[in-house]
Amino acid sequence: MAEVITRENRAYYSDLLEDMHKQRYNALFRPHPVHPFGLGWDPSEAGIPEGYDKDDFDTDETIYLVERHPETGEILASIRYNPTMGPHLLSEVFPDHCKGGITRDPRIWEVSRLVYDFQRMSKEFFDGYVRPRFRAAQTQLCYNSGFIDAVTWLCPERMYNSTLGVWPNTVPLGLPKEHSDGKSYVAARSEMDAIAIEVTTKGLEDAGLDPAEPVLFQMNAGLSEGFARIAA
Amino acid sequence: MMHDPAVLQAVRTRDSFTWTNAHQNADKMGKDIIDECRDFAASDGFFFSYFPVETWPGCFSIGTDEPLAQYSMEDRELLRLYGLHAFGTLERMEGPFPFESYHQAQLSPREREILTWAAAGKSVPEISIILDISPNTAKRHVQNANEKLGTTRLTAAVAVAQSSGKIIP
Repeated sequence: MAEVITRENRAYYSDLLEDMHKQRYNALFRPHPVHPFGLGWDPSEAGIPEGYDKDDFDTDETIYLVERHPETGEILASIRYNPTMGPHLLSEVFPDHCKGGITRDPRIWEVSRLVYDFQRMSKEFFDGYVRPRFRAAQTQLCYNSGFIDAVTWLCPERMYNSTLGVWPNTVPLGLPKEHSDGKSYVAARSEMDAIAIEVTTKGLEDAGLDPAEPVLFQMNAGLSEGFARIAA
Repeated sequence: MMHDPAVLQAVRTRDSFTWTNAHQNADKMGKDIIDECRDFAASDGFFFSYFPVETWPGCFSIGTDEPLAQYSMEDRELLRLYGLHAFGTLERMEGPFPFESYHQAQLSPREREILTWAAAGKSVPEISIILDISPNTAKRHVQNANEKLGTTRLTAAVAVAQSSGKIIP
């Protein structure tokens, strides 16, 4: 079940967050079968310390969604949400991806650092359990909270269609651009609407999972307060 | 499809290219295919290939009767992005490629055989003699092919089968 970590409950999850930053580094930057050469760029150039992926966009306002193994409690997937009203990746690092201007809207957040740890799960478990549940959780976090209408994101062009398949109301924010790693990246905005809920719910059904079973650990009062504070 | 020079060029390279590029590398039949596009006011065009992580590769080809030189690099990138988005939307609507409708439209070997003979100008009775089957059996194969291709007449089925590469002209 995916757990929502905000400034309000961060102290409770401090150990889990520590593990998440380490796991993120391992999954993103250390060579492994999924990314034999890592992500293709040097994390130290971005000020990311060895073995611990934490950058300028892991802030007090950042909300994390973390999927843990149902039995071991290990982190299997994580993603972070940053308010577009503040500094975020597209505004500070990749503004040239946003042809129509930088998104600044209290109801639109940026998602980044989507990480699946393939060293901790089989392909079958990923396809049949973790991914459909985590996709549903990402969408429900926005839709059910009532505070996020849409998310922006940046990803390799080759993965654009995967996201389009989950969040159908997606529009590019600018033309694809090649980064220093030689890959083409595209920024986009996806609506967290009823269609996205419908598609991700169907994803649960297609995987043989019960869509009535909760995918989010809780939508606690702290979370709503956090959203409300940022929106204000 | 086997002779479409754009598809053959896409197999050779992952980069975007123009129909003129494909024409230069095509055999005679391939050149004829591109030349025929001029009949539809498409003298040149762009071809973009996509290699998504999780699904099948695909391509987007778009023709124009205007000189390609008037399209800036930004225009071309925009067209490429348009194709990527259209490709993804199609996959979402139809499911992962090969689409279900594509499966439904798969002709049996016998149906392909009959349409190929029909394309050569043979009538159903003549085809039944050539294939040594009864006229009713031949008619049933034609009916099945019509259902799969969404057509109602043999000539239309032949045209659709040819244009979609299910039979080779």
